[in-house]
Amino acid sequence: MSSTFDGLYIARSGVRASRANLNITGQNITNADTEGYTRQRVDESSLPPSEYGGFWASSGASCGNGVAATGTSQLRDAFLDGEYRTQNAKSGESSSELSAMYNMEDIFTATTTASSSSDSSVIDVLSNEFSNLVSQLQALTSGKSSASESAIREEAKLLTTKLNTAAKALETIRSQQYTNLNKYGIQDADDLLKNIASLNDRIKDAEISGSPALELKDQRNLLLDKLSQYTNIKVVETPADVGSGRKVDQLSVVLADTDGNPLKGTDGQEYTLVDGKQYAQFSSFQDKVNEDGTPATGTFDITHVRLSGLTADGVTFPVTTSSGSVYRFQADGGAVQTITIPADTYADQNALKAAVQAQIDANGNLGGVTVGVSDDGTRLTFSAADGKDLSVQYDSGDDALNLNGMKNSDLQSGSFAGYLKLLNESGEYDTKAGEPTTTMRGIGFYSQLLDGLARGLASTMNTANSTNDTSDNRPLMAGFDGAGSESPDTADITAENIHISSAWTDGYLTMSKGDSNAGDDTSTSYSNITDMIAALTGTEQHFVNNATDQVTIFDGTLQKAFASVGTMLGQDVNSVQSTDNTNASLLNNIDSDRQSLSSVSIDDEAINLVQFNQSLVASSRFMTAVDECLQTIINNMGLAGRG
Amino acid sequence: MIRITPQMMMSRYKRNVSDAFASMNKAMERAYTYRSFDRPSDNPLAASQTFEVHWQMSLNSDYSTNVQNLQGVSNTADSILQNIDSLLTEADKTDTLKGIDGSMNDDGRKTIADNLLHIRDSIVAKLNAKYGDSYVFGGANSSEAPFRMIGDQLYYRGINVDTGENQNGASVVFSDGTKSTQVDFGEAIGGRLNGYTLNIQTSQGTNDAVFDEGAKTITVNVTGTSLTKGDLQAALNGLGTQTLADGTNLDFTKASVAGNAGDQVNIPTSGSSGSITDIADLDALANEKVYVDIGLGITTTDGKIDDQSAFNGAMPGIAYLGYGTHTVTNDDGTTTEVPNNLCSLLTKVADLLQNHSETSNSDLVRQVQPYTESFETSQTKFEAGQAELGQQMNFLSDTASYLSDIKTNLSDKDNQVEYVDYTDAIEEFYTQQYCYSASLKVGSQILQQSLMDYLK
Repeated sequence: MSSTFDGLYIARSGVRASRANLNITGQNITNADTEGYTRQRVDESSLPPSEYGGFWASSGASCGNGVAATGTSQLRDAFLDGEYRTQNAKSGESSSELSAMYNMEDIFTATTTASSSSDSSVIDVLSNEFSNLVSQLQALTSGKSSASESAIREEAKLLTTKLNTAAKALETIRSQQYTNLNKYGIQDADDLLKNIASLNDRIKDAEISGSPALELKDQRNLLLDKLSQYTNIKVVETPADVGSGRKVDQLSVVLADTDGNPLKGTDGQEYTLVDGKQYAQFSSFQDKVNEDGTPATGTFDITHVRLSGLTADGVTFPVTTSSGSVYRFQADGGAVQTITIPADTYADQNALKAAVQAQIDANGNLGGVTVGVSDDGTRLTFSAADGKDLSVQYDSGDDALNLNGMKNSDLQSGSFAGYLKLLNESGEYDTKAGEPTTTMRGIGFYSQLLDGLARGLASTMNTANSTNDTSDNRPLMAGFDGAGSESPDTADITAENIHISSAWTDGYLTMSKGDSNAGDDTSTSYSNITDMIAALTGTEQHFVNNATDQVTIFDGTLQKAFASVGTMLGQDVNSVQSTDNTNASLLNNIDSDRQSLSSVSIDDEAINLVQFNQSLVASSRFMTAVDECLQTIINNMGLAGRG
Repeated sequence: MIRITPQMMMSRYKRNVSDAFASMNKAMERAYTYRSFDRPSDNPLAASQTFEVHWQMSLNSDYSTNVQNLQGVSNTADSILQNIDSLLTEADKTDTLKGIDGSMNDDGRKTIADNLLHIRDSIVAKLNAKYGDSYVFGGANSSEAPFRMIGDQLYYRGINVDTGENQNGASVVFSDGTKSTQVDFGEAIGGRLNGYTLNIQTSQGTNDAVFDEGAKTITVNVTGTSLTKGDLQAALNGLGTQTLADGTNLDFTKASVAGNAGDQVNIPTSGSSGSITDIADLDALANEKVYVDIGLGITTTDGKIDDQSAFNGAMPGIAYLGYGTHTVTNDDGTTTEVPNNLCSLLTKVADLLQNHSETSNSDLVRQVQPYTESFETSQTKFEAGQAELGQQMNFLSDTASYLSDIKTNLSDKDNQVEYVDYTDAIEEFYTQQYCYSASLKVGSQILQQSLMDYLK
């Protein structure tokens, strides 16, 4: 049997629930355009009659106790979030590649107004300059009055300058891309990781005190979405015991593969980016060492991205290494030094510090590198003399210093991967003999292709001009050797340093190589110039990636090779462009699905407003009814017949 | 059913408007540039075709320039040859060659001789004509006047057109099969080393030379197996002045080796010797070739340009005038060396007329006869050369018109691949503009409304 005032309690629960609903509707409406906001709803349940489970069976009609607003929750699907983040990484990768490749494309093409018509025309800068040189040579052979050796020399100079400019522009793009990665990308990702960890902490605190912290979760989700454009991540929520039998979800973020599954290192460990309030940090550096530790053969520096261990993790002492720990040290861009911390048990940080310092001192190539202990006493710090650059990377064995063994290859997609591909990969130039090409045509491909062109041009012109058996005298074009002096040696020529030989003055060009009668000058037959033209435009050349692997880059005449750079790049850009378009539209589709579930519809909320308003009115009316009923019972009952 | 929220609609709408605007922008650019692409990535295929067409057009323009220049040279050559032809006809008239008969007196002979020499000098002067900066009839040497009279001998680039004797002295060329080294002994030595052999002996001596008059050899002893051109020259110069048995001095200090002093001498693999001579190969001179690329698809074999793949622009003067001598057996059994060169023939005839010691004119006429006969043969050859030049000019003019056809075709192709049709471009622009305005209009209608507008 319910109590007399039960009706009032029921009415009150209805009013409360309606008000809660109205407030949440208001919250939804006001946040309809807030970035990252997820629509919320009140979790409600009907309250059972109080006799439920009572000792005494009750008879007669029993009535529930109204409604309980038990909490608020978000309408959000973790699966869609995962999908979105995986796709966002792909999109981030292709868009960072595309923007750099657009810049590269600008180097090789220019829009000019052709002299013959008023129409503007897109020209291939290098092949245009190449045909100018051929035209000058042609003009000389047919005895055109304006043709002269100095005109040819000027054209040759222009062509080499164009090669220099293109090569330098590629290097500028390379350094811009590294700045983008290092100063903006990594910086931003590190901030995101720090903020996510801090939000984790606040959310945990809020949840312990009973608040669902939905708005903080929205913020965190937004940061996770942003983080996912840099690299593939997997977000895992695990229930953590917070005492007195209560559990709250603790969020951790790990590196994932392209399918969104957690990546595992060689030791089976996952690469944790954030775990609760602890977070790791990315860092990058450049050197002349490949990821596998072999010396880099290209002319450019290899970029490496690394991940630190979790911040608050540090090293827990005593540390025992059973097989020794190998680390790679590199001070101020010098050669990489391998340091092995001997297998032992180190009681505390000072013991470990002393052991590491001893190894560094013994190496002899790491002068000035000192080991210290961090302020919180949990980890070792390393510094080079005079604040120079120093990188310390985990290589193999037990990770005694708790550095992370993540490598470039673990960043499978995302803009970090995009940048790394652009900076480190050279397509066919990386390919080994008989193997398929697995890397992208990054900046290195085009700079090496230009070097190939420069060498092809120099050797063709130099051979054509030389008069001796070994074809190495009277070079027209040269580069600089290691000591900085002019050298016509093919190995010393790059697109960046090719220039016309300083010895090339009038009378240097070999006009004719034939024997003649004593005292007879047959140089004006220009037979050698015609040979030179034939060599430049008719002789098939074979461009390979390197002498060992002999992977074909280009077969054809030098003229065709010059013409191929722009179009090759055009095709590459075109294909990345379509990949990027596909990625962007897939991302939009997934985002639409997410928004379909999570975003606020004003219409929905307007209907809710009416609905909850009505239920509030109804509950209030019910309360009035109960009140009237009580009024009757209390004041008017038992007065029958009083007159 | 998928739930659609205003946020979704907004973001989609934003995307679509921005797409429509981008398309309109692209169509607008196209409508004022008419280009089918702005960067190769817009249309890689069209871009590569365009660049290829640009290259072909550049080649075509080079070829056209070359053909025009060749036509200029040939036209000049042709009119000079016509001039010479009329001079030759002049030389064959009654007051000249045809006038040589039994009725001549001393004055008559002198007049004819003077006339002939005058005609000869005119011919020589005409053959030194220039087109622009270059001498038309110089063969492979167009920088110096090719013909010169020294005494009554005609020299073509320093070489006697009758005997082939090189005025600049003797030379020897030896080759290792691919490349060759040339040694010149200088003007002073002249032909006195003819018949000598230059030997190179490896792994002997100390890079010195030995002159042996008896064996008619000059032997260079090389310390090792290789020798630089500078060392060879030093060894030869080291011979100083050698006095022959007859008392003549040979000055070797003027001997020179062509090329860079630092380069290796191409020591022949077998024999290691070469014959020294100051007699040049007139045939080779008359057949010199100067190739010009006029778009015949230039190809090379072993570093030499194939004959049919380029145009030969050389016009060696001696190929027209004739060179060398031939032997005529006279009625009395004696033989006469008769030159083939027209100018030399004129000189010979004039010489006979001026200095004849015969008792009668009929003897003189008999003496002159082989020369006049040879003159007619050489004149026929000259006319054949003229006709050949005419054919070359026809070929050049055909090539010129062919190149101009190709140019038209290339321009057409360029228009096809690089530019879009004007109508298409403008129509495309209007379509895109319409799409853009339509999307704006639709947006203005859908964006404002929600249920809120209808609640009272």
